[in-house]
Amino acid sequence: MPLIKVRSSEGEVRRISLSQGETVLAALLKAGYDVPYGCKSGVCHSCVLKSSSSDIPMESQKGLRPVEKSQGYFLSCRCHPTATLEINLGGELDRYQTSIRGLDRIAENIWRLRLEKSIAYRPGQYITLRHSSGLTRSYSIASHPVEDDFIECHIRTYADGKFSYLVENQLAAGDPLEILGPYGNCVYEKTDKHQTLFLAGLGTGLSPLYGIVRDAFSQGHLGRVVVLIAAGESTNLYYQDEMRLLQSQYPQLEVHYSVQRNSVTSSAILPVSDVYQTAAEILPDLKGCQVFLCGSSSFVQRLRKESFLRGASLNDIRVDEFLRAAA
Amino acid sequence: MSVYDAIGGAAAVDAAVDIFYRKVLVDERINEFFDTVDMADQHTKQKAFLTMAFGGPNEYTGKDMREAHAHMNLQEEHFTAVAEALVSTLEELSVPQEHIDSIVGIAVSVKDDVLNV
Repeated sequence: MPLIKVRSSEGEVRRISLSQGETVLAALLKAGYDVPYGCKSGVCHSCVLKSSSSDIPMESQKGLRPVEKSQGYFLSCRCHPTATLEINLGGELDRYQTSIRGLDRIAENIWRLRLEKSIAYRPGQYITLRHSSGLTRSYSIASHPVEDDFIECHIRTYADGKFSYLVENQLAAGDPLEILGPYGNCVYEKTDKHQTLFLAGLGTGLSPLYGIVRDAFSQGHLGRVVVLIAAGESTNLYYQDEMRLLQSQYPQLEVHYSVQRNSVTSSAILPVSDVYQTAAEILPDLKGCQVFLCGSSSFVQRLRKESFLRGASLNDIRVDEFLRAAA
Repeated sequence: MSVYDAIGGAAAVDAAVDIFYRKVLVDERINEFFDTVDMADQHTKQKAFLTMAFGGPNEYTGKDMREAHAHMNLQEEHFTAVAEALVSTLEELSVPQEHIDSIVGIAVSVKDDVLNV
């Protein structure tokens, strides 16, 4: 049975044995430790802890930055130790304090959150936000570090969502929030400025794409840039004016829309189409293209496979996969 | 000189891996073994397989091969399908026939371990 040795910030050591298949996070929570956590899937990095052991399981360091790995940080929700692991509490990752600059609704179930800029990032990366109540959620960044003097995220709200409740009822300009990150590698790589870029986003999957597209243009990208924006309901499409404005500045930008349903309250009626079929029609051959896919897991995984089969090299497909919060 | 070096080493593996992966993903006989959620992980495994098949540096032992494939209940036709994908990948990359023959020889040498017979 693997064992963890938990050293508190006061130097006290407690031994906890793990049951079969149990993660370090689960064992610590069961033992009564107040470890922050969010997605329990290795994405949000809320549950990162520090260990002084030399054999930290590789799986639990996936997605961390090299410097964090070398300092012994690991994701406790992904950690199944095979040998005794020493854990030092009180060694959390750096968190950055920021505050809300603005919060407004931009589509039926989508809100735009702007934060005072406090960290360096690349468009397409994501951050984890931590509210004073301890609630954490990860969101992709829609802003551009040079063009915008704020950090912008787009938040899809759900009827039963805890963070949704905060967004719709409580949060206001001036409120403090903590940032962890940035994380992720769904970013533009300037390898060939004449390359075709294909970007597809479902729902708030548009948020990282809006940053990535502007990043590509600001780095002098000259090739075709094809964006496919999809939504379940037409009332959850947003930023059409922003995309039109970009098109007027960069004629090589093409924007396509695909919705599953036109809502009766929608002012503009859009063509209803199957997003996967639309993607195949607008760019049947993806050989040599750089591909960006952002949205729910099912959307991203299906389009990644189809993009690969249509000729994109797996190394040229970058994804930002959204996960629903863990219970 | 080994076949691995003769066909270009790691660069040859990089050139082959996407082509090979696409072939096994669309082959109805075997795609269930390759169609996983974690495509990056699958990509890494296939690079390791191709490196081994090309006679490059690898740490595989017969025991590893047996254990890795034991739960899959693989049959002769599965092995044949993978071998076909391998050969047509090499043909697409215009690898000379003599090298293809050597690579097939390496693949066949692990067949019993893969099929657990």
